[in-house]
Amino acid sequence: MAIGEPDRPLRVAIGEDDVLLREGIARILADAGVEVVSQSGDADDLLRRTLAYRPDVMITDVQMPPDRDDDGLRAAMELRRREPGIGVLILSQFCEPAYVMQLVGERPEGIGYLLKERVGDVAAFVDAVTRVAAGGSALDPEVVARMLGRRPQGDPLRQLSARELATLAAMAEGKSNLGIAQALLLSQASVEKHVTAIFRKLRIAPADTEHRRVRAVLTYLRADDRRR
Amino acid sequence: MSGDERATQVVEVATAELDGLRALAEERAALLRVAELVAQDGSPAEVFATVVTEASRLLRGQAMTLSRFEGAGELVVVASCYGPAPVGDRVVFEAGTLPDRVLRRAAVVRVDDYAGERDAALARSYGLGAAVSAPVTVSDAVWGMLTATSASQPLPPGTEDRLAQFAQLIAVAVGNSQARTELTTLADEQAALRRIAELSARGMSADDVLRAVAVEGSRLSGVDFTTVLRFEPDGSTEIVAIDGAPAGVVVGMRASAAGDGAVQQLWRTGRAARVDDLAGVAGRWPQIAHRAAFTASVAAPILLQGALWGALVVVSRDHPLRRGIEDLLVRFADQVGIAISAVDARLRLRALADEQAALLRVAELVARGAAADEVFVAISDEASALLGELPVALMLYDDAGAVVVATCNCPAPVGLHVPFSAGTAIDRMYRTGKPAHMDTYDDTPLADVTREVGITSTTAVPIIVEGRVRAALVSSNVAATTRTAVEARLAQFAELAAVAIANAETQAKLTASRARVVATADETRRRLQRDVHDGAQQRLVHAVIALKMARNTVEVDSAASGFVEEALTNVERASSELRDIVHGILPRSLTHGGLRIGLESLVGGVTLPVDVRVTTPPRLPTAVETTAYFIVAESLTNAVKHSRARSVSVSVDLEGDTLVIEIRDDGVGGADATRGTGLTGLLDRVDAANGSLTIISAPGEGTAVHAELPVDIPGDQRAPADALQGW
Repeated sequence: MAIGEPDRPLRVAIGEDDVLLREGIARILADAGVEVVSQSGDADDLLRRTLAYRPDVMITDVQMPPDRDDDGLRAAMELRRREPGIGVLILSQFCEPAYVMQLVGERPEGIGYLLKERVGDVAAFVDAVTRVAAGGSALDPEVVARMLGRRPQGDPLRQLSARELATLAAMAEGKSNLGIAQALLLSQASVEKHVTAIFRKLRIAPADTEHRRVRAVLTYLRADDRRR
Repeated sequence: MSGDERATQVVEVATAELDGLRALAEERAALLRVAELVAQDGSPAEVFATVVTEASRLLRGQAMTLSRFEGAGELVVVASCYGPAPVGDRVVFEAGTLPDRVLRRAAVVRVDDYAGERDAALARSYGLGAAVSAPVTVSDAVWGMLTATSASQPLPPGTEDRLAQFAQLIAVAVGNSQARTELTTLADEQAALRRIAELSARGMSADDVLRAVAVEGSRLSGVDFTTVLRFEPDGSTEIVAIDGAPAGVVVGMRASAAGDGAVQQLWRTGRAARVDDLAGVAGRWPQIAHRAAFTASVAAPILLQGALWGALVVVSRDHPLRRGIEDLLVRFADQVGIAISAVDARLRLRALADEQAALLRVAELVARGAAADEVFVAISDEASALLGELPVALMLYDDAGAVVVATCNCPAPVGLHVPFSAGTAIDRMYRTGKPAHMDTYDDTPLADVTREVGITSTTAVPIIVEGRVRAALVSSNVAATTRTAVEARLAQFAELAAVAIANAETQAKLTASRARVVATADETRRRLQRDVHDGAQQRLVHAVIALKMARNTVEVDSAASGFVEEALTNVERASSELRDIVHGILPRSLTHGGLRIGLESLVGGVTLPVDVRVTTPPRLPTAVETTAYFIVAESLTNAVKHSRARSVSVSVDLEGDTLVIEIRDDGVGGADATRGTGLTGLLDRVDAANGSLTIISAPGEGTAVHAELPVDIPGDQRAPADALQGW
């Protein structure tokens, strides 16, 4: 199932202090053929185990013991600093673009941020884990919508048509052109046309691979942050 | 007798008669020349010079001197022809001497041999052997005398008559000129008084009127330096007006009652006084005048309602002031008193008004709730200005002593800590709660400190708050004479300082209690957020996940499927709503990411385009971040709900140690800030942060919310309210 190494199953470490949810996630992933190498109820334990087992993806909650603050997020950032090759998928009850931006830093590769309830959409959830493991991105649509928000006058995003905005949001989520076409009920050709228009209007250098497209969008949003 | 003999006799007789006639003619001619001169209103000096010359010639070149009596025992030489003493020479004479006899008898006196006279030694020093003097009598008073002298021989008989005739002419000339001078003086005096009266009537300032008095004083007495001085109850004086002052002598200068100058004599006797030679005369004023090359002075009393108010002092540069000028000055000063009484009333009124105005300014500051340290500075400044730029310091007591917190014209630096030590004003006042004075710091532990900063004496009043001596208003180097007045004025300022301190403490307590309320509320929010996160929100997430899983296990289009879908929709909506509610309670982006990120996240959820500009450092104190966030959040909510704005701009800047927050929309404006906006609910929070919040919302011009929050940057000076805590 794992991309790139078909003969080896995808390996994940899970950090979640809510035992029921943790077990549920583990079962969903196991049923999908993902190997859950460790389960932790606090962030320190999660980081230790992740560094020891070196899974493909670390899945973690944000608010966790020991401090019950942003411990999970801090563990994720520490992991990215020490092991940039291991993907991080945040499962959170907060719809906070700030967390996403902070986690992304200058590098959107291998990052996911989903609201916890997305776990119930098993196929989409497993797909997100797989994308993150492969160095792609998986951002929650609700978070992306908040990031793209209402833009002030003079903001280049206001030049985009409704279709183009929807396409941009889907791109930011980490979807491929095919995925976008399916989600928006468009032909792939239309999607490609929108993508080209977006890059032109936002003055972003065109890019082919999927995670570079996410990077382009996030880079744009970050630069926008700084500009404001 | 032969014919020749007879003829010789006739010739002799005739010759003698002719000589006599000739002499008589000469005498008549001389007298006529003088008389003509007098008739032509020749100046006295000219008449005097002519008289002595003619008289001397008539007496065959005999030495001739005209002198004027000054007071009871003195003569001044006013004209001389071959005389033993030069013009201007003064001769003091004793009783029984020739001048004394002339003066008392008003008759011609002859001395044929000075050897037997009382003033033989004096006469010898002048080279005199004999003399004849005739009195010059003007208006029934002996004005002077005309004297013929010889070195040895007695003067010839007949000298008396001749001198007497010339003396009469002199008397006429003097009488004429004196009358004229008196008339002129009177006219001058009246003109001077009229000018002063006009100034008073025109409502000129006191300074102008007093200065006019000084100018007229100079003009009347023909000097270049005149001052008007006011007496304090102890006899010390202050210059209130001045004309032709030497460099460095200014209005406001003071001198003690000590010394022998004309002013001090006047203070002691109540009468006009003079000093003819200022050299070596004790007292500040004589010394100042002498240093500036003045030689003589006369002071005349200025009375106000019968009491001595001050002195008019004329100072002359190169000669003693003429006799009798006292009378002129006394008359002038008398009239001036009337003008001054009006001015004095105005002065007092103005002083009172100044005092009230100064107190009012400070009181307004206190009432406005200005920071205590601002009030302290104002009190020092106003008190010092009111007390003629005396040094003033405000000191706060602590456990060990008192520290200077505000000064004006004071040598002691702000921050100077004066420890308690027995006997000092600071110490006594702390224990007694009463005003205290220190005449000297010698022999106290503070001798060195005070000497270093130039403090010789102290007049201080306590500042008492709720029965405790908390601070002191201190003035240094106050003249002993003005101490009571200074103390009374300081006391008034001390009362205001006490109110300011009490206000500041009440305010500090209020602010602290509000801050506690806000902090408690913030903590409650955090706990609530966490509880919801770990409780209801988590269970809803479970429910969503479970229902989604269930959806996969039931048959599509079955009845169960419908129920599951409906349940899922409801639960997802509940979860989403709860997420928004939790976000509203205290957004994670704010607590985690700081104000900028919190606001970014906030505007992401607003249905209006919002331009956010945050230039602050990434993190600020939590309370400030939270307050700023809620101000923006509430303003945005209002803009969305009420303003019909097309866009909103938000700016947050740190200016010095103040966080400036501004939210502007382009909507309809006209928001009533007093009700209906959730912003008023934030006022407690803003007050607790010692901040301010204003809403400007003119109809049709959009709404602008402007808030300022002080940011207590670590390492910065403590806020004034804090500084007041704990002492």
